[in-house]
Amino acid sequence: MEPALVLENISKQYKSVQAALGVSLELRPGEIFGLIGPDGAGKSTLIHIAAGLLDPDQGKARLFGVDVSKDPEGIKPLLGILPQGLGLSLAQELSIEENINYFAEINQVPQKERDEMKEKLLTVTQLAPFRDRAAKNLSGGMKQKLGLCCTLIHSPKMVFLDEPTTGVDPISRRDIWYLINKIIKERELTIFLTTSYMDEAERCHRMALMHQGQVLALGDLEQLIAQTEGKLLEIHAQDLQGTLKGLKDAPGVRVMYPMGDKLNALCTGNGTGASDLAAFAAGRNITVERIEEGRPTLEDVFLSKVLKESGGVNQKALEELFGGGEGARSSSEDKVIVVQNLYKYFGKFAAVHDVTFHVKRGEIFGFLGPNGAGKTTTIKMLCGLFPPSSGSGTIVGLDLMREQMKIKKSIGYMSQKFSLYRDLTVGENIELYGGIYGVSPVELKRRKSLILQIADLEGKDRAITDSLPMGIKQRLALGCAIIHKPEVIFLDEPTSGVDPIARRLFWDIIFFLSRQLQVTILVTTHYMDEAEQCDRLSLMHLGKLIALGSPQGLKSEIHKEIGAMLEILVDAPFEALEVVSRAYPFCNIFGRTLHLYTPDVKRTQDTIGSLLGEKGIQVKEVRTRLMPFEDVFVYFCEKAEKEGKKE
Amino acid sequence: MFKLFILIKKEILQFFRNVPLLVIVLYACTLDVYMASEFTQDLRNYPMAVYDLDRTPRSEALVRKIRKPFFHIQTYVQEERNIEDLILRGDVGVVLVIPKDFQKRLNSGTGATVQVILDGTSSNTAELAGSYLYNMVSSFSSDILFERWQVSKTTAKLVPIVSSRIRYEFNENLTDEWTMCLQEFFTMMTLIAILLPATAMVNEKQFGTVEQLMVTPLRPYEIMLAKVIPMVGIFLVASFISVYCVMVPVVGIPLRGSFLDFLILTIMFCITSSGLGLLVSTVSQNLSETVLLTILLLFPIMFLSGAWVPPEAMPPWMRALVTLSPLKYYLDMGIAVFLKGNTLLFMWKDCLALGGLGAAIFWLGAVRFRKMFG
Repeated sequence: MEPALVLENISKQYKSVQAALGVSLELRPGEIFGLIGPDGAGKSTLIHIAAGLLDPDQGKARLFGVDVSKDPEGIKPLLGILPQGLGLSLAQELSIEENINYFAEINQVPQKERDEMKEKLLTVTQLAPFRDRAAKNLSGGMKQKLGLCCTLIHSPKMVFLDEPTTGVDPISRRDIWYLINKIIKERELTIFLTTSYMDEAERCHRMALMHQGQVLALGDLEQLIAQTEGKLLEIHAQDLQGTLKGLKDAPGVRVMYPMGDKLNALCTGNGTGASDLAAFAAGRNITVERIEEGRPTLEDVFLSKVLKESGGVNQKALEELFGGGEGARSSSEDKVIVVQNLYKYFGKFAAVHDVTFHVKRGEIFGFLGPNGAGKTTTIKMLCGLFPPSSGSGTIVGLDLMREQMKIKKSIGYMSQKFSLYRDLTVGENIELYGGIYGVSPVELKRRKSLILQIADLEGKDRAITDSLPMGIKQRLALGCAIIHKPEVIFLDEPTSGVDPIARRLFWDIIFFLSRQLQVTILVTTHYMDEAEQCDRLSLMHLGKLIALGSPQGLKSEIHKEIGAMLEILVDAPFEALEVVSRAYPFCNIFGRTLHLYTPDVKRTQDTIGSLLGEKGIQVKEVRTRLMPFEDVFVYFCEKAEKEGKKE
Repeated sequence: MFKLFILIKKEILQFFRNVPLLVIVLYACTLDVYMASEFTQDLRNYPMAVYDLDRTPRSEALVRKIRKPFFHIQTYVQEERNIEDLILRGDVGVVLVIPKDFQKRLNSGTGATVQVILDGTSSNTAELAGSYLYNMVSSFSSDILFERWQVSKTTAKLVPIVSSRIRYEFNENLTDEWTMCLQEFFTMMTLIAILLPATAMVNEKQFGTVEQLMVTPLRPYEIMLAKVIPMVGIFLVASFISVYCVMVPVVGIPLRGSFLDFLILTIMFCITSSGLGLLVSTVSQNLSETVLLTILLLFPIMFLSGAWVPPEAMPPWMRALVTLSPLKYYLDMGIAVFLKGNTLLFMWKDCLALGGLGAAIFWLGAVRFRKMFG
């Protein structure tokens, strides 16, 4: 069979950056191929070269046998491309339907064909009820769904998706993946995508791991996992950070990192086993609940390949920045953030509806919810960016309504928009924010060098900020947000679009701030593994607070309501989902497995094989697992939606 | 105060890193102003055709009267039907038709007529060409008159005709590049004074940095001042360059008033325009919207300034609006400082009006800004 896309020895260099170095790939027709790697690994460059938007310095790209750089016009009818960034390809002023029509027209799709395809796409994406809404008024998730519809309307044979789900909430992400699978099953379509979500990458048929312009590993999930040397140990403990610190240097442990509600340790081949590590922990007086052998996921593969090279957090610099006696706490109040019956109306629309919660000193408080749920609005009110419509609250004991100026002195804020001045140098940015907060020149000089250490930018303070890699920029932004030693830090999607390694480093800083320096942190995120690391969480949906508690507490709440989770490994997860969902209302796809909730585990375990077997779907493995946090998110949102409909 | 200084420093740094913007500002205050001085509204080399049916010494004498640099005789028409063609195609703007018997009629004393056909589509130049030709023909015929009466140059004074002595104050030779150049300068400066603060603000809005500023203990007025003060500074430097590197030494415009007066006037004007710029930035979402809106705003400001049409020639309702164009005051007073050597004190009424207008616009911009970002 002729390959859909062939990349032969592709190289591309921008000024000093090697974006691609001798990359060779082959995509089979009808497969979903995922490209994963840290920021700046060269993923987008590769997509642009393959789609004929960029000429490589060396090498050749062939799409269905056609040389891309020789005939870029000829391949256009064959391909669809969804560029990186939420809704960037859309005409913002046009409605959903007009956008789809527009893309159909420029691709000369006959009207009858177009209307059929349009209805199908709108139904699958659940965008049909909003067809007259202008693109600019859609949430991030809806924009991406619409972008995908527009990319698919002319029935391309090859589709390039550049980070289609970055910044999109878990529910919309599920819809997008449902759409991708539905389309690929119905027509001969090859998909080439990049993603920073590892669980999504697992859904691809094959994938490549890219780093510094080179492909480090290539193959399907099993092949990649087989390449991971050694075995994976999962460590469950109460105090994850403490355990991590204590066990990181245990003999035989190559790397150790938090993963959701546990620690993962990759150990050398035949060395350390679960019992060895447990004994080591006991020897150091570290309480560990249990240690068991686990199955590595793609994220483990990724981390084990790349984590070795990245340094850790500069704890000394952080300590020094916040130390120095000066930062006396303004109050001994234990509840640092208190919010009571907060409302915010935009016209008649209640963006925030009766929100009440509090956050204790030193706590990491997570704020979750779909795009447009009101998280950002709430944070902006707490930061004094605009006043609440009604309600009350205090931050570090200061009144939210009347003492905004005082509050601003003791909080730090970092928004999802990368909020440093791109055209200023690193040093100028730090000096600017220090100056604004009234840090004296001598003290500013000291803090500047500390922040440079924290952001891993020592000696680079003359670099223009825009030229830095994403992950470093985020750390610099965090550094600028804590230059005045705030007691509370508000982080609004600080890690959106950042690769797993940079995200881990970022969270290491957050942990240190919270645990060691007693800084209170309120953070929003769409990454479920990050959510699980928060002390407490609140879930927002349509402006309301629908769940509040510790990650573990929320999980046991679900357990009480719908039962335990079974993980089912099947060869065709999407087909299996359709069969199983008729019998079990709570099931979904996670990675390449099926997750199913049942109050009666035993009976389900016995019957599921035959239920799927009847439809010709082979079950490879069924086992009970702890529920992933994404299921918690989706469960509460869907519950709130059902209750909303009843009302 | 220290905070404000930090912010201003940042603004200036950003301005100097933005190379395209820097080039535009430099171009506007040097090359553009110089180019304007080369554009003249006076008649130069106006293309002309002559249809001489007479072909006598008299008719040729008349044609010789038509002088350069005002007219350039492009062609001599041989057949009448070609005339229309020439004008339609736009090859010539004016045709002089000298009828048969021109010399005979002049000599017989009955007097002769010539026909002047003008292309009225460019009405201003056609009017100018018409009156220039009229003057030339008049002078031709008075020569004939003197010759007939055998009046010599010395005794011409005795002929009882009224002659007017015209003296052009402040610009004796009517060097029209002076006014063109000054007008262009004031117009370009208006554009810059609105555009600079507006783009700087909208960039912050677009990239989310303004939010970051708003969560710091800065007050909205500090953020606003930090935008306006450096812009006024850049503006002053630009006008200094324009005056002392282009207008005075190259174009040769006399600066008869004091430069200090001109600076004060410029500051007043710049604050007014910055207010407009801030207003624009609160309305627009991105850079392209800002630029479009600024251009849209610039046209009425220019029309109403009196640079193109004197306000007295406008209908009453437009004349009332003229008082709202900050450019009108800047232009009137600026030209007066340059050419008439007026002092601001002398023009205190206009100063007051510009100050009042500036305060009102700036206040409006500030209120909108506070609402948007405060």
